[in-house]
Amino acid sequence: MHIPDNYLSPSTCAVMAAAMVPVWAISVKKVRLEVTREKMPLIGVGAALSFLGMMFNVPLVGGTTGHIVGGTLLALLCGPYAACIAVTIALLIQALIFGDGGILAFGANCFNMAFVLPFVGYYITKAITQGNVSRVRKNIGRAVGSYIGINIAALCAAIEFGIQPYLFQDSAGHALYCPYPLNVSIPAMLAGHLLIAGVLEAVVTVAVLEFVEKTSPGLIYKRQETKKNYKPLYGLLLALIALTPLGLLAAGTAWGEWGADEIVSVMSGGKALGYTPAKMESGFTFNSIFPDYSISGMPEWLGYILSAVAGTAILVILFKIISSFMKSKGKYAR
Amino acid sequence: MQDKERPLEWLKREEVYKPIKDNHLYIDKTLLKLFSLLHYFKEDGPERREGRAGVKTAVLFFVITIVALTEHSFIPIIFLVIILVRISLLSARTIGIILKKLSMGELISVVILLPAYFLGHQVTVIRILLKITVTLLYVNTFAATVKWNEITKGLSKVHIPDLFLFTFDLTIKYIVVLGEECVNMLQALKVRSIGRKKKKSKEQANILGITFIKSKRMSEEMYDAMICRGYSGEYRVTHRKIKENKK
Amino acid sequence: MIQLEEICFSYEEEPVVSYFSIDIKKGESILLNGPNGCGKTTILKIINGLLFAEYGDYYFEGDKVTKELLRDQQFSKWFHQQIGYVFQDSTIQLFCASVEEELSFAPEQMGLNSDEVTTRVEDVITLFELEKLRKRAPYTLSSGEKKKVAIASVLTANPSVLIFDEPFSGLDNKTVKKVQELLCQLQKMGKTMIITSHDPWAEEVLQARSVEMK
Repeated sequence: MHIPDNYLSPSTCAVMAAAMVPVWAISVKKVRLEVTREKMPLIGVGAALSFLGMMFNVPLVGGTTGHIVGGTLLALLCGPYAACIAVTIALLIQALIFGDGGILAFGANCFNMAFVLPFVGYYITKAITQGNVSRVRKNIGRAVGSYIGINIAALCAAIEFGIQPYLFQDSAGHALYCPYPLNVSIPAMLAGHLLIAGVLEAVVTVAVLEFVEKTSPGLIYKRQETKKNYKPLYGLLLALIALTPLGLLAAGTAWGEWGADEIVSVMSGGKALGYTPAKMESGFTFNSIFPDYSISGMPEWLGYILSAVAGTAILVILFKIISSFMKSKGKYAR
Repeated sequence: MQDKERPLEWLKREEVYKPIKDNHLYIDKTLLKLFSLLHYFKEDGPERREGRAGVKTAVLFFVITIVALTEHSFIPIIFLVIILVRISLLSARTIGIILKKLSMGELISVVILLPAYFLGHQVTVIRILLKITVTLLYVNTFAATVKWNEITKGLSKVHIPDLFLFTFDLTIKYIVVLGEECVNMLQALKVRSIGRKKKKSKEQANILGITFIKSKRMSEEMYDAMICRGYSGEYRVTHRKIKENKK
Repeated sequence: MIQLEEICFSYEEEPVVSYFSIDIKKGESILLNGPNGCGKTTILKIINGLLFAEYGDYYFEGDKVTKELLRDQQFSKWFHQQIGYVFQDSTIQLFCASVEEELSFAPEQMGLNSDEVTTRVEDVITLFELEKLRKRAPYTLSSGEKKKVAIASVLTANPSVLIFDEPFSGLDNKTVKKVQELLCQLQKMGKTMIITSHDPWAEEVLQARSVEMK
């Protein structure tokens, strides 16, 4: 559900970005207080997992595709504040380097995927799995939490899309930005996420948490220090990188991520749109190094894998640098 | 030792001292410069690996040449991905050093290329910046991961005269040794700077003078030590690896 | 007078000092004990402001000593006057052209009148028997003579705290005796003294409080 540029008016983008500023500020403060340098690799790995997960496109209804985000997964692994930061950074890299998700729309994307998704998913899961519960109930809690999380996030995105035609029109009554009103955007986005993407998010969240609990239980966010083993997670990352070309198999663009040339012929309510909203044709453009995860002069699958590798490497480097600013009292033994 | 007639009265009482205004920042400035110099030469962290300096040097030159000559964009991009993975495996400190050095080169390049960008040669400018970035990353990673003495070993394989390499090795070693002596002396000077001084210029000149005298003494002693270990006028840089005794 | 609370310091990510605390009263004598490389010199340098702890607090006469505070030149000059430091290697702290200059370096900076400066310099020359070495350049002296000049040059500033890093290393027995006598005298005069040494002499004769570092 990455919102590209020119789908939301600059004013909408500004409002969403402004809404995120306090969220980011609080998250940074919380992370600085609670997270020590030793825990940072987990957040970095989480961001890499999220980044890679978002490269896997899944076919949804209506010929579009969607993807998992892993926000709830991250929140359950390292807390909602760290998850917010991790997803923000993954989205940042996607927007700047891979052209996935708009630059101006960055605030909106973060609001949906780095704020709403992890926090909603985290607190719902925690509500269901309070205290000492059976493993089945734990997994149900995680599944329900992540399912609802991603759907609420999709709902938010749909609302952001849907209000554009009401608020911003040109003299001919054509929408300047996203042309689909609420009665189209909400069902379109929710259908895909309620039926498929949400289920996938739940499945992946439960599966990865099971994997982590079996191989390195010390990593789950419990506000205490235990022995941590990151190797299985790194193995998981490498496996995901190798599998990223699968994300290319699902043809079709996700709902709400069409390019300016595609939107003219998108079918909705039985008829094609017929026009290209003015701002999409002549709005803000940004050329990234790996546009759409491809490299010119190379087969698509190779470009995809290299993009996955590059993205993961950049994330690791970024998080190592961030961790060097964190407290590291752990090395001192009393 | 001390007779009762001279009781050293001033030592027995407490010194009530109000310092006079005078600027002593120059000592800190010198210290800072020395520290960063020593830091650069002492960079001998665990990421500096033994062995295969020749291969690493060859790879470096190969990559730089190919990246410079190619017209396609995807070749530098492939190398970029490779070096990104390499860097992501290094420690945060080394990464910071590499990125700092990179940023200087990037800044200068961007400033130079900016007019061309706005004159419409955007694609070319991006490609040039890409090549510069990749090259700088490779060079700086090489500098951060290869020990100094490995570089000399690599150079010796290219038949650079041993005398030159020996002097090169010694120079680096003694920049560190003498630099540290200077740092110690400057720190002692710093803690003894407690008021207003009339002849500040003399201090650092004296420190340098003493460093020179020390270096002269060190070189004489080193010569004596070399003689005692069989030196007879020839320099030889050895490449033989000492095989571990596996028992 | 000097309080260190839970001081942590690492050099290149290797912890050198972990959660070290000490409370030194005015006039006390402290002996820092411990094997090589356990951080004794590091603690001494933290006390005299050359190094700053990564974690923990350092209080000198009630003031919390931090990098920021030492940037105030007025404070830092007074601070360095109050704490005299005799380095383990005397050669690094002697850089004047003659012994006389070396001894008058500190009191001249303090703005004392020339009579006072002369008194102090003459007093320490007599105390350490340096009459014959007045005009000599410090770097030409023997190690025993250098040590005496080093201690003398620190004394002329009249600090209240004296730090001696391995004061007896590399000295012949005669000089060691002289330095020991001097330390006893300084203790009687009420100076706060912090000594690092492998020699238990300080504990035995000076009745210094021994602090073990691991």
